[in-house]
Amino acid sequence: MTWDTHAASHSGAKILFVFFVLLLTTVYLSGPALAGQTLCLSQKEAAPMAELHATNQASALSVADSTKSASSQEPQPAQPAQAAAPVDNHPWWFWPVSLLFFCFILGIIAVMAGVGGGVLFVPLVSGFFPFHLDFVRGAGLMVALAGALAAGPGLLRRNFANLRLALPVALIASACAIAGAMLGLALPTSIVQTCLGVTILGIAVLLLLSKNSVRPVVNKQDAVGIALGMNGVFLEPSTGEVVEWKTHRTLAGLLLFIAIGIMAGMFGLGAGWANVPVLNLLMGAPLKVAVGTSKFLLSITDTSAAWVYMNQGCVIPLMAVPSIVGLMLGSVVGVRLLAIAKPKFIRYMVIAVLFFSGAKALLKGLGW
Amino acid sequence: MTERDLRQEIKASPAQLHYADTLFYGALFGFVLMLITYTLYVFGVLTPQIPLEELPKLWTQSAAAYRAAGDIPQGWGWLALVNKGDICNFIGIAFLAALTILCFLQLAVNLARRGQWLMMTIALLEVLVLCLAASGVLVAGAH
Repeated sequence: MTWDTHAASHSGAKILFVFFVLLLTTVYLSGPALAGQTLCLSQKEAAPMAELHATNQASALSVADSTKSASSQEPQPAQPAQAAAPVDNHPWWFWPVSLLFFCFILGIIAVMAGVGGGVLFVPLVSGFFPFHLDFVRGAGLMVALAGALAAGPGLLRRNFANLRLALPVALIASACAIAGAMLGLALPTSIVQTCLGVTILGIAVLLLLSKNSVRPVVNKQDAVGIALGMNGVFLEPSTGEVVEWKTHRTLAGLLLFIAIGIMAGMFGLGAGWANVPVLNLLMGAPLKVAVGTSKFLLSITDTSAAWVYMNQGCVIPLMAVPSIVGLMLGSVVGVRLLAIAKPKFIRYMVIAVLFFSGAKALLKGLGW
Repeated sequence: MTERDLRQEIKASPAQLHYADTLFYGALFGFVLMLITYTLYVFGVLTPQIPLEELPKLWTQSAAAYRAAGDIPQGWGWLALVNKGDICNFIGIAFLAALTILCFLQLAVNLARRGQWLMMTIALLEVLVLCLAASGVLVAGAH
């Protein structure tokens, strides 16, 4: 009896994806907004929030009764959009546990599709979970940061992440990520949500069309690249070959990291989706060096943006920690499955999910 | 480049290896710390600033509304509430976020020892940028 590993891995990937879609559907249907429980709070009804604040100042925080009284009142028509608040009747542990499982599957899929966790986390969690976009972006940055911190040491030791390439790029991207984070927190949520939708759709197109080059040909290194020492050597483990590399179009690449940093900070996405094409296709770094350096870069870029979000109270530990743990466990399993799975199928499915979640974010931002 | 130079170049530089080691042990410590504080929080060992059952009503609101309702301070104000179950989680989270700053400080020293002044300057500038972000002085307008 023969075992067709190719067919098995293909069907395994399909099962994984179907499971993921079912999980998303379950989460979506569990959401307070679809349960017909959406409640518009008038100024009078928003009193429980103020009461929570007042009670908290007295060191004991309890608003259960006042919130119940708010939910028992009739919804008021024509209230400002900002006052609308969905009522969630699930126990407090429901969403963190859902996030843990969701992020576990997300971690597996992200590794197999070759994308970072943040780029999937933010649009999907903001679209299917009840959390406000501020907290989703804060958690998204922490997720991307944790993944980068975990992967960084191995990449640096194997020389797949190159400090000489990373340092100048990181300085620009991290400074701009701060500006992006401040911009994202200052703008109205609807505008950020709309821009997020457009960005996610753009990322999906980028993933669909970009054809990374394993070893780009760089005939002559430019002056900026020489001055910054952006060159190196690495050992290709699969062939035992020693690969020398150097960069070109370095200034253009560095300038693009301004935009990458701003987007990473503004949307809390991480930025591997943009780092790799710029380092690889534009600047001419070999794909392995580009991927390794990109992952390492996230530990710096996302750190600066994460601090801004954390200082503004946008990180809720109850939701951020299960997200981090779930995604990291999923990544570990994903790396093991990568050896037997068919990543190309998963990649196309992820692109489809990005198109869907991008469109959903766009429509949500536009209020449709 | 001679074959011997190439062999040397294949290996990560000592500064890079030091960075990797600090990152590895620091991240490990941070993750463990984060898991311990989270366990203390969700199992009710430490009383939280915002009761767990109130959070589902607050995380649908903006960060500004959440801060106001839960009296969550901005910037480093959380240090004053570190005995609270939810707030103590920020010890591990802040440590993970500060790890890159520590690594870059170590890197700057290593680069200075090897006379790589340009890279050392970039590393120090990075420390300044990250410290600025961590300081809490950059406050975005609430929406």
